[in-house]
Amino acid sequence: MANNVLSNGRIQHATAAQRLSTDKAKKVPDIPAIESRNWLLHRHYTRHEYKICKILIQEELTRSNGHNEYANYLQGLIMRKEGKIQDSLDCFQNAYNVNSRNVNNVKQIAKSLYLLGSHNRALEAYLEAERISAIPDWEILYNIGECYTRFDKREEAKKYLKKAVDLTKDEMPHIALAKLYIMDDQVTEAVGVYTSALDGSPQSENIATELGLLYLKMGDTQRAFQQFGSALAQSPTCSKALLPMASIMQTHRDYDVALSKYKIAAQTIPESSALWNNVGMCFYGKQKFVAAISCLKRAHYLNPMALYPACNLGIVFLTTGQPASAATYLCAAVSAGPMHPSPYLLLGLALRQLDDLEAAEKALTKAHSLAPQDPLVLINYAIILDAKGDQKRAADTLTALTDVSAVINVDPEVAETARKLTAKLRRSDNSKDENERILNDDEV
Amino acid sequence: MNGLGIDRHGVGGLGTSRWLEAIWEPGARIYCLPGGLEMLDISGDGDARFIVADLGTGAAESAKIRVFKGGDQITEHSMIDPPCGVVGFYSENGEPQSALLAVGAGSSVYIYKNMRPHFKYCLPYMDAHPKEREIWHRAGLEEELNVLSLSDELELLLKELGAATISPRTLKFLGMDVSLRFSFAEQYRRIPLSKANAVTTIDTIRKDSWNDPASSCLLIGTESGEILVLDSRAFSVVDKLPLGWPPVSLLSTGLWAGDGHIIAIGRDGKLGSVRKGCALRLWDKLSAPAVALTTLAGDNAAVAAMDGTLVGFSKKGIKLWQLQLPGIALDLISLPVLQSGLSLLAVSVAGSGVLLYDGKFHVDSIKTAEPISAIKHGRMGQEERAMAMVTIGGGLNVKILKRTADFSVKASTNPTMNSNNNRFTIPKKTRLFVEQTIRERSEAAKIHNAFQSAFLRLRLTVARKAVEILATNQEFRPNPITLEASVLGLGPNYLIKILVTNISDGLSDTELFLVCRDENADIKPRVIDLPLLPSGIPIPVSVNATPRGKIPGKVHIMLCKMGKVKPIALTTVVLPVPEDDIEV
Repeated sequence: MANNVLSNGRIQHATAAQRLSTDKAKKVPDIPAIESRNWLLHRHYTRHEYKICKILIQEELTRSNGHNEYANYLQGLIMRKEGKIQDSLDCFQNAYNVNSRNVNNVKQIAKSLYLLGSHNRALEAYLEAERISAIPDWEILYNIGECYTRFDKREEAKKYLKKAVDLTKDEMPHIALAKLYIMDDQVTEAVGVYTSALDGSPQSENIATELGLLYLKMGDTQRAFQQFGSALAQSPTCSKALLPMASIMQTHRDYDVALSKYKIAAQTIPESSALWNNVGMCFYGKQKFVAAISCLKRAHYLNPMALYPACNLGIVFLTTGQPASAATYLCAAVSAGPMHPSPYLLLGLALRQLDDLEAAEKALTKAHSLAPQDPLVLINYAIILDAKGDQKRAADTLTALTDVSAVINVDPEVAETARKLTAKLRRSDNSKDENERILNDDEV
Repeated sequence: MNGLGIDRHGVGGLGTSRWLEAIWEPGARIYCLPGGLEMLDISGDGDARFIVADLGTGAAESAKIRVFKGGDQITEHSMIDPPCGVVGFYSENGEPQSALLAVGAGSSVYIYKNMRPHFKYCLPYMDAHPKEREIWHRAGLEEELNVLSLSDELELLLKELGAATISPRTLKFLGMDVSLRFSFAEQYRRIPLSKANAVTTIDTIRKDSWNDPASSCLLIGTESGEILVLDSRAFSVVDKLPLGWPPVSLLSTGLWAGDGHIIAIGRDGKLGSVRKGCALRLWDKLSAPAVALTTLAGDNAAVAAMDGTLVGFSKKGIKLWQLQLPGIALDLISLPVLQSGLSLLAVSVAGSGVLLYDGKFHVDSIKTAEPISAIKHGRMGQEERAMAMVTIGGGLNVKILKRTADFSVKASTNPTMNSNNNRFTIPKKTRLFVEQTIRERSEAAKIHNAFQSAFLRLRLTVARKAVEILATNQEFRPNPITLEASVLGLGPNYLIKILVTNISDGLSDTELFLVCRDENADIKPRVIDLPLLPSGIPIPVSVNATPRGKIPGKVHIMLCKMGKVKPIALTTVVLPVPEDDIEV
């Protein structure tokens, strides 16, 4: 043996089997195991020392003539981290050729295929992995579910994800399953999945946040707030929970507390358009218009295609008496969200202030066609029609508004304006009648 | 006899630190990974040495075991295989003289006594596949060896079974050049076929006593997925614990004779505990492979994972807490603070030095110039509280925990919140802003009309241009060829170097040529025909230019296509005014 000196003459203490082999092997060097340096590769890999790791892997692959399963496997993992998915697939194929019974090799082949976008082949590989896996593995089941989701086979996907959820407390399959339920409008099931996931791992801030957002969508602000609170107790800087929590506070006019939350979030996501939009609206709520404008402008700059920052900028500019700027941003809002009535309404108001009655009427006609029941749209539409001299349609619109106010509660301010406008229209109607009558008189 | 020269005035600003700087040896050139450090009183004279399993640097330097006294190396032992771990242990209860050092490397564990080779334990061979054994056995019986048929048989077997089940002997044989195969087969064929195993990690477990020093059993993790428990006197296998996967790191709690557990962690992040006579109980699978495993306050375990998380587990395998480290974890050890009975965790994080945690709470940071590759806490020389840190660059740094160190005060700054100074700035009102606002308030309609008409005009211009291009049938797709031109030389003769690159995926158009034009300079050649440009490869083209007068000239370089009037691309370089001829 190579290092016999070290045995120090005590070889007789070794076991019989060893003695036998060492005696016979005396003359020839022992052939080291192919896997003898796997531990070294792994140590370097876990420390993210990929450069050294790759050199060592190459050494091992040359030494073993490419027959080192783990070296191939690890090379695949590193290639994937470097974004070379196709190369990683080749490496995992090599590892599979060395040992086709190892489930991990099949799983990684499938994952690389999935990342390459060939979901069909990925699914086949995952099904193969499921077949050869001795014990049920939630990762495989979860990934099969993901593959089926890609094919939009939701029932199949749900079946596999349910199996995965039963096997693990890991949040990923739970979130995937709940999202599927939400897609199919099965909200109660989704809530159930999240709650059971939280029972399993109460410290998961991801699930708490997702559940909170779901509650928020359902309109259950109280419970949503609770979930965000528990997520933030786990990690106080989790921006995914900070933002909705602060926005709930903002809707309750708790602007200073909301702002302090946004400040924490701004450290992790300083380039979030939504964050700056909300900060801007907090300042607007506090009547600090300059700060509001600068924050909203930042939000608009970060995402020029977004509806809310543009629309909010329009609102703030209308408040500060800058209808020209408001109109520009509201135009952007209109093109960002052509199906929303409020940008059209606001644009109409801005154009009205800019004395462009024709365009204002067009904008409000559009808003009216999108939201024919909205009292705000109706009253403003009536005012503009009146200003344009189309008293008949103005009166029709006001009638529509009265119909609406019979069904829903209308803001007293709107009701008051409507009352005044009706009176004005009646007066002018009367004077028109008088005019006609005078004309008649003249004729006569 | 103090092995450490304590430099109490080492680094400034130690007033607030809980640590004393003892040794800083930047040139120690230690290449070491977690698990490769040990502190052991090798001769039993009460003076503990620092032992390093140095992996060597590739071909130039082989791996070796190095022994340090203070900052100075006293001995070293060369190793053939890189050592995966080094542990010290005692073979007898209460006898410091019985200290032994075990080094796992290759397929053996080398045991040193007083740093002299004492014993070599070889891992038992694994069984080769019966078919493969049969083939070699037959080859051994033959009078005249038929290498060709042996090769063919083994080749077939390799295809049938896959390389993972074949012994390294066969793989080496098949990987050899055909001419070398005969002598190799001749050398080995009469020796029974064996399949070597390999050590992946090494640790110890207390045998039957809680007093120090206590005799311990050696734990050896193997590539075949087992833990071997070795008796400390006879070095025979006492027990074999099957895991099913090769362990990365082991951790023992309790007494082997009692209810001792061994916690093992696998390469894909599997974590489980195993005890005498029981099968493995899998706890959890970590989200990422583990970097290091250590004890956490008594019987619990803490794991640092590759994705920068630090997770605490109870001894039953229940996740106690999890926290996110501010960077990549490199090593993790537990750090018992004797005076206060605390047990801290020391994590080496790339970019942040060593962070100390009491459970999930951050209590102290040690800033280091270089990332720390491996840490070990223990007795060094006479000093009980030494912490040795080996940097990535190979330097050795030893710090000593002050007796007065108090960790009850939590560090005020969370290491993950370092970026707190990131200001939350809201721009203030500027004069320009105010002026614009005032103007807009008074003349909003005018501004709006001006904007609208200018905007209409712009749209009109764009539309007109588009119509023009469409009408003249010009192609207005993006140009996939870039030109980069640079002027070389001092003048009056300049060399203009033009790099033409096709940035599209396919081949370029045919019949492309370059034209260089300048009124004030002679350019040779003025027209250059370009070859077919392959994708992504810059093609250099050089032309000579000589300015005619003293006026700096602009050279227009145009990329044109035969049969088209307008150039496809244009770039311009300026020829500087040449200096007057210098008298040499």
